[in-house]
Amino acid sequence: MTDIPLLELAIAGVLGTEPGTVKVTGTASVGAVRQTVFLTVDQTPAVAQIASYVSEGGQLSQLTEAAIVAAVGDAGVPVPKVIGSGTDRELGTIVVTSLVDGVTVPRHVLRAVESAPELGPEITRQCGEALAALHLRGYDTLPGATATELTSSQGSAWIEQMTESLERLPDPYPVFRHGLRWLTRHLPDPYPTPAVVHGDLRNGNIIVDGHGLAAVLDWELTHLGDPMEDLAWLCLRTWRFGADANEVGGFGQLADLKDAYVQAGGTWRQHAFGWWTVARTIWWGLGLAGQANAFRRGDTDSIVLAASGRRVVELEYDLFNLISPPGDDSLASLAGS
Amino acid sequence: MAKTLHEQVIHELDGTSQHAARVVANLCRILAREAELGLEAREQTRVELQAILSTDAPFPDLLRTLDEHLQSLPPDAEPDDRIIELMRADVERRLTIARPSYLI
Repeated sequence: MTDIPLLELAIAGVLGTEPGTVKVTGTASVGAVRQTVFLTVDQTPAVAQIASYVSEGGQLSQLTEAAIVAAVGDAGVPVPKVIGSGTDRELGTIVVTSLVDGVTVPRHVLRAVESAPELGPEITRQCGEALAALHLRGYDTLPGATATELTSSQGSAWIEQMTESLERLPDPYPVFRHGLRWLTRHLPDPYPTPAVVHGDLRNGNIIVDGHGLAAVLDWELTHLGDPMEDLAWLCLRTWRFGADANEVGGFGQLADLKDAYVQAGGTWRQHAFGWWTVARTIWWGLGLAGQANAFRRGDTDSIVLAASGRRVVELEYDLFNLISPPGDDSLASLAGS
Repeated sequence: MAKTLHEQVIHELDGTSQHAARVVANLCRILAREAELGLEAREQTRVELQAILSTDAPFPDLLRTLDEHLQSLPPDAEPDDRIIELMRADVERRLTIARPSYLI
């Protein structure tokens, strides 16, 4: 944790306010790269994220992320308000946003839905509407310079990237190889126009309050691509946290998500949805394997990352149930082809 | 160890520390299942792989050989049903150790 007076001074500098107006009130999380603190700015509650250096591995810089959050808010996506952002010579990049009340921890979200069952369909509907707004209007609201920073990947190029990730791992994963071959055989038509894809919208990256979806968080994986990628990712079994009957994040029904997305102007492409469900299952399985490998290599001493290795098999299991369900010899059943 | 963590430690913590303690408690349970079931599960997969791949290579080499076999298939060819079933059975055995409640 950075020295608090130094932090307050740095945040005030980035916001261009008097040093005494910023008060750090608590710590939300302290990571190796980013720390998140609660604060007040002129007595108004806010949150600051401080990143010591630019992220790697396909993640956007904090300042780009802040520019995206500010822009997509204008497109109608519920996000925290960006109060200010900038770079401090000592601490790195700093982004200050409004504090949005509510819960983010998946178990807390599911508990809230359990005690107020009407909340589940509401969050689902709002997720569908938020994603439609992002996919339909997000690109047009981005500043030109920000749009050019976003990577774009679909179809064969995406499979190539995943194959490279697979080859980089020291152990073979035949199940994921099998899955990548399935993807090659079932490629959907590419999405024809540039669409902003959040990349990590799921239970755990949303704030939920008594009215439903209060904000969408964590925009560091934002890219240009196929809108169905976002919808598929939100529905992966891994993000249901045991509430498997509710396909959407453990809190909602897929039919409700689809209806809300379409009613808000989005186009639902079932084949692409199925394809991205398989694709992002493989992506996350390889991601978990990579995290565990980072521990084995000695790049991190995080026990949480080490434990990721034991979760890889969950994704392998999901993959099998998606592309080769027991007793079903039609591999294309999921994708509707 | 898992019981001690759950009953005496986890509720005394919060935030990141609580999460880490939960992960460690879960790892203890996985290790207990691994000690009980791991060897037999691995042996079953080894025997099945050796039969299908017609080789008596050691376990890690078998997995690599299976991976290379899948890579070598023409893009539109399906693997043999026996290979699919073997991979599925192996996944289920490993999941029984890692997180049995995840099995449908």
